[in-house]
Amino acid sequence: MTTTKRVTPPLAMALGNLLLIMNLTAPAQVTQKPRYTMHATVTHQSHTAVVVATDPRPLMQATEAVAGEYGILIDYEDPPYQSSYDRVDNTDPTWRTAHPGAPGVTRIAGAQFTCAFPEIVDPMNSAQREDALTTILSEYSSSGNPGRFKLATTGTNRLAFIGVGVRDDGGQMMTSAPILDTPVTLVGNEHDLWSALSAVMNQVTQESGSKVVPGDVPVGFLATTSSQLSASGQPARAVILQILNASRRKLIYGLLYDPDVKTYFLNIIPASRIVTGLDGERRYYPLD
Amino acid sequence: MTHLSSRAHYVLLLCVMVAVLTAPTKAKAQDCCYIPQGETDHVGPSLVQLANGATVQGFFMGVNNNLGTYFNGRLTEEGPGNQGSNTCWWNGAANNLDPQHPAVSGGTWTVGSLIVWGGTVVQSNVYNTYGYDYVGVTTTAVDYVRTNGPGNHIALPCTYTIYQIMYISCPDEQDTPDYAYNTHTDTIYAKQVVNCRISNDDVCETTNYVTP
Repeated sequence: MTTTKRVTPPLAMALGNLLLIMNLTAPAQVTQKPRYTMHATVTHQSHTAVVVATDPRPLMQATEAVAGEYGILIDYEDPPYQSSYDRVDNTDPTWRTAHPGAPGVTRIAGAQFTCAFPEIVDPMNSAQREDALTTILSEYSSSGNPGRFKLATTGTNRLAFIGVGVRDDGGQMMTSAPILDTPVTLVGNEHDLWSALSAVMNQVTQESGSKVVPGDVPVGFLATTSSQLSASGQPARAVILQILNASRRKLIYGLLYDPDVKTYFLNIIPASRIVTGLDGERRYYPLD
Repeated sequence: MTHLSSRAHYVLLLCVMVAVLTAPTKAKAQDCCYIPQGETDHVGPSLVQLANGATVQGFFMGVNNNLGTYFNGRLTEEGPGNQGSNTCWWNGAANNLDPQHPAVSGGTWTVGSLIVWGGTVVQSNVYNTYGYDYVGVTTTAVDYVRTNGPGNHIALPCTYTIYQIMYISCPDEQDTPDYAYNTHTDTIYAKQVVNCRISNDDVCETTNYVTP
């Protein structure tokens, strides 16, 4: 039998004491930034699947993973986060030092979200899809993560998580009207899809008072595709879906809110089946 | 002299028939679906038709090969290539759904056809060209990254990198082989935006754009 005696050198002891002192004198309220992941994961068990998301917007990340795993259309809309209960400071310390008087920046206060949901054996089966997504929504609502959402069937084989609640300055949940409920009108019949989408964003901005701008949008593709479109006082969401359907491609949207600039960003990307290869690379296979 | 059995005769005859039938078919298949050896990019106008499109660059696209094949009438289509990257993105940023997959839209173009923008014909019936591929992010996104990025741990310049695979339809419409693997980059500087379309030739355009 061999025994070893570990001798602590004086310098290490001194450093250890110094670190201990530094630790004791650190501010009590340190916001630990979660270790976010670039993407959520979905793993499969016998009759259930488990999604694990770690993101400032964990429901959005989980939605992306589930939609990509099963090849289904799920759109996503943020509620208008505002209070310190739904946001945390994210300011780079170096930048803060260089800009001591600036207000800094925040991020949405989400962290990890793990949910086991009934396996979707047949992605074309609407009951299976809704069963899974209803479970995810229910689990999310009790997870302590920011925002309250509802699940809506917005079209054939199409669903959406729509933000309907945020916490107020006292930490209490309050309802918020989804901004894409705003009624909009498209004048005329023939539209290129980009002009139509721009008109929707402009009208929502004017009617609601909240700014809506394009984020990641395939502008060139939409601007070179025209279709018969009409809307008279319909919810902006329905008109956006009319535009996406008119593209004859399978596109999904995500409406993300940044409380620092009080602006909604409308993002549109091709709906894809996402497969992670053995090399760890994610490969995208558009659904159409 | 060697005598072949009737079975051997049958096998030999079968081999000859297979050789006769397959050789011309292969040659025919190659003849009917010549593909481009790559693409040519020429800097076009930026997307000024769009209110916030000054930082989106149009590249006028052409296809060719060294046989001088006439590609007019055939469809080109883009699809996603390898996993992209986006160093302009931070956790919580609102202007991108999937930072590793800055999306190609999956657009299609007909080679040599009318090129229509917003209902207006901007180019028509040009030999072996298929119109504009727009590369870039809108001024809205540029402003957002410049204003909020540095506080969110993003150092300028930062770059979106998108991988694009180009496909072209065969005349018999039975196949759509790929013919080009392109890389697009959009780099946001403090006062400029540089958009590149890297195909057979590397073409970049710098736009001076200052956030108001």
